[in-house]
Amino acid sequence: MQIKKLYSDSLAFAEKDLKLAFRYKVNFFAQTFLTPLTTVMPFLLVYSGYFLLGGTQVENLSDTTFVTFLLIGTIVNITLRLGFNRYLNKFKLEKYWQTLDAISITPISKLSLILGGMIDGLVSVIPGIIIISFAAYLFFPTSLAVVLPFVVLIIFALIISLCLGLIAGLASIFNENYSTIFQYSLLGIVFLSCFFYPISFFDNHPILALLKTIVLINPYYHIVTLMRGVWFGTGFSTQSFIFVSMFVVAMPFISVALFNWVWKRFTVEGY
Amino acid sequence: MPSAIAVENLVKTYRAKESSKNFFKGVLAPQYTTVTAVDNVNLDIKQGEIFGLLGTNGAGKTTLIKCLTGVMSPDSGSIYLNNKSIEESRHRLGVMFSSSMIYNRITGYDNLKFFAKLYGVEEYEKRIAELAETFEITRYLPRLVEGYSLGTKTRLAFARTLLHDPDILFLDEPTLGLDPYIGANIRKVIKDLDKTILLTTHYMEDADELCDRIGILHQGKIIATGSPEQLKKMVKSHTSIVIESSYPSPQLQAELKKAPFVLAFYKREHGLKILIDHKNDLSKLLKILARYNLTKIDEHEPSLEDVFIKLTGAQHAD
Ligand SMILES: Nc1ncnc2c1ncn2[C@@H]1O[C@H](COP(=O)(O)OP(=O)(O)OP(=O)(O)O)[C@@H](O)[C@H]1O
Ligand SMILES: [Mg+2]
Repeated sequence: MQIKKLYSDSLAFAEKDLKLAFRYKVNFFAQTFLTPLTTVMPFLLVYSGYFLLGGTQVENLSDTTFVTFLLIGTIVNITLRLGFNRYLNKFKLEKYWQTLDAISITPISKLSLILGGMIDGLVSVIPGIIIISFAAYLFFPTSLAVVLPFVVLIIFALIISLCLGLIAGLASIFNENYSTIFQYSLLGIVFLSCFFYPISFFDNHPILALLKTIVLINPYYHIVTLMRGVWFGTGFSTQSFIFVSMFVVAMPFISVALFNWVWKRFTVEGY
Repeated sequence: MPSAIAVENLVKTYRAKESSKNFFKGVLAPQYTTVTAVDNVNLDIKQGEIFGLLGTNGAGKTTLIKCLTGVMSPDSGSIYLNNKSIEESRHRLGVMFSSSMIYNRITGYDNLKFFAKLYGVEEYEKRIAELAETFEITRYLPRLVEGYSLGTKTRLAFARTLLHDPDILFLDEPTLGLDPYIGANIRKVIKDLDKTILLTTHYMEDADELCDRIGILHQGKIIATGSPEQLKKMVKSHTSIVIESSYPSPQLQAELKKAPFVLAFYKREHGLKILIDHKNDLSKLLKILARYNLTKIDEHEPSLEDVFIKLTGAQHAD
C-alpha cells in the first residue's frame, strides 16, 4: 500500500513537472543539453588541435579514443546537471507560486520528490543521451552489451545528483544566498569528476595530488570511469560499483531526513 | 460536542529584516526586529462548527492558519485536530489560501489531477467532474490557469481544497475580490458543506451569514469570541452613524478623536462610520457634524462591523 502510494505520487510529480517544463521548451532544452555541450567544446577543440598537430598520446588517450572519452564524460555531466539544478530552480519558482506550501502539507513521503524527479529526469535526458551515445559509437564502436550497465549507471548518477539537488534547493528557499553558492560548487564537482581528462592528470603536481584524494571519493568519478571501462573494454571495477551503490542507497534517505528536519525548523522567508 | 480544533497558548514570531538609511550599514550589519504575529492564542472549535476569524490587516490571521495547517511551525503551543497531531491528520485537512497554491502554467484539470493523486483520491476523474459542476468551472478546466480570471482561479482553488472530502477546512479569505454572483456561489458551498470550517474574511456580511461563532483577532491575540448574535449584543446600546462627504476633513477627524462619546470611527468609501456610546449622544454629535459640509447623515442598527470597530479600535481614518 505504502509502496503503491509512493509510486503513484512519484508519477504525479513527474507528470506535473514535465508539463510545467514544456511550457517553455527552449529553456528546457538549453538547460539540459546546450550547457553541457558548451562545456565539452573547449576540451574537444584543444584535444583535436593537439592530435591534428601530430600529437599521439595525452596520458592514456589516443586520437581514436578521445572523442568517445569526452562524450561519455558529457553524458554523466548532463545527468549531474539535470538532477542538481532541478530543485534549485524549481523550488525557487514554487516558493513564489506558493505551491511549495501546498505540497508541504500533502500526505506524501518526500521520497516521492526524488523518485518523481528521477522519472521525469530520465524522460528528459534520454533523447540527448541516445544522440550522444550514437556519436560516441561512430568514433569508437563497442558492443551492444554496454546498454544495460549504461542505463544502470546513468540512473545511479541521476539519483545521487537529485539528492544533492534536493538539499541545495532546500537551502536556497530558506536563504537565497545558497542558490549561488551551490551553483558554483557544481563547477567544483565537475572539475573533480574527471569528465574531460584522465585521472592521471592529477599526478603532475603536488597540489593536484592532494585533490586526487577527493576525486577518489567522488562517486561521479567512479561512475564515469565504470562507463568508460565497459565501453572501451578495459575492465569493470566491482569495488567502484559497490562504492557508488552505497551512495545510491544512502543518499535518498539522508536528503529526505534533512529535508523534513529543515522544513520543520525554519520559516521560509523572502517571498 | 467533541472539539475538532484545539489550540493552546500558540505563539509565532517572525524575524523581520529592517533596512537602514545607510545603505552600507544595512548590507553589512542588517538589523532585525521580532514581530509577534500570533500571541498566545487559545481556540476550541467544535466538530461541525463554522468559525470565523475577523481581524484587521496584519492581525495574524494568515499566520495562525499557516501554523494550524503545518505550513509553518509555531514557536510554542499545542495544536490538536480531531484529537490528533497535524502530522497524523494531514490527509483529512483541506487548506485554501485565497486564490493561491495553484500552478498557473498547467491547466486547471492538471492541477486538480495532481493534487487528487497526492491526496490519494480514488476515481479522481469522477470527483473532479463533480466539483467542476458545483463550482461551474467545467469549461475552464482544459485551459491553462494563467488565463483565468480571479473568480475562476478562486473557484479552482476551492475545488482543489475539497478534492479529498476533508474533515476540517481552513479557508483564508475565500471570498476575497469576488463578484456578487461567484461570492454567493462560494458562500452557498461553504454553508452546505456540513464540516468543521475555520475561515477568515474581511467581509462582515459573510461572517454574519456563514459563521456559527466568530473570534476577533487583534495584534495576534483573540480579544473576543461568540456567536454573531452574542457579539452584536455588545453594541446594542450603541448607535452607529454613517456620514457621507466628498472629503472627510482632517479637522473633523481630529474633533471626533477628542469627543468622549465617540467610541470609534473609521473611513469608508465616501465618508466615515462613527460609533457613539448611546443614542442620547446623537445631538452632541450632530452639533459637531453641522459645522462640516456633509452630503448625507444616516443612522444604522448596530452590526457586526460595529463590534469589530469597537473592539479593534480601528481608527483607520488617519
Ligand atoms: N514573512 C514575514 N516576515 C516578517 N513579518 C511577517 C511575515 N509575514 C507576516 N508578517 C507580519 O506578521 C503579522 C501578521 O501577518 P498576517 O499575514 O498573518 O496577517 P493577516 O491577518 O493575515 O493580514 P491580512 O488581513 O492583510 O491578510 C503582520 O504584522 C505582518 O507584518
Ligand atoms: Mg492574510
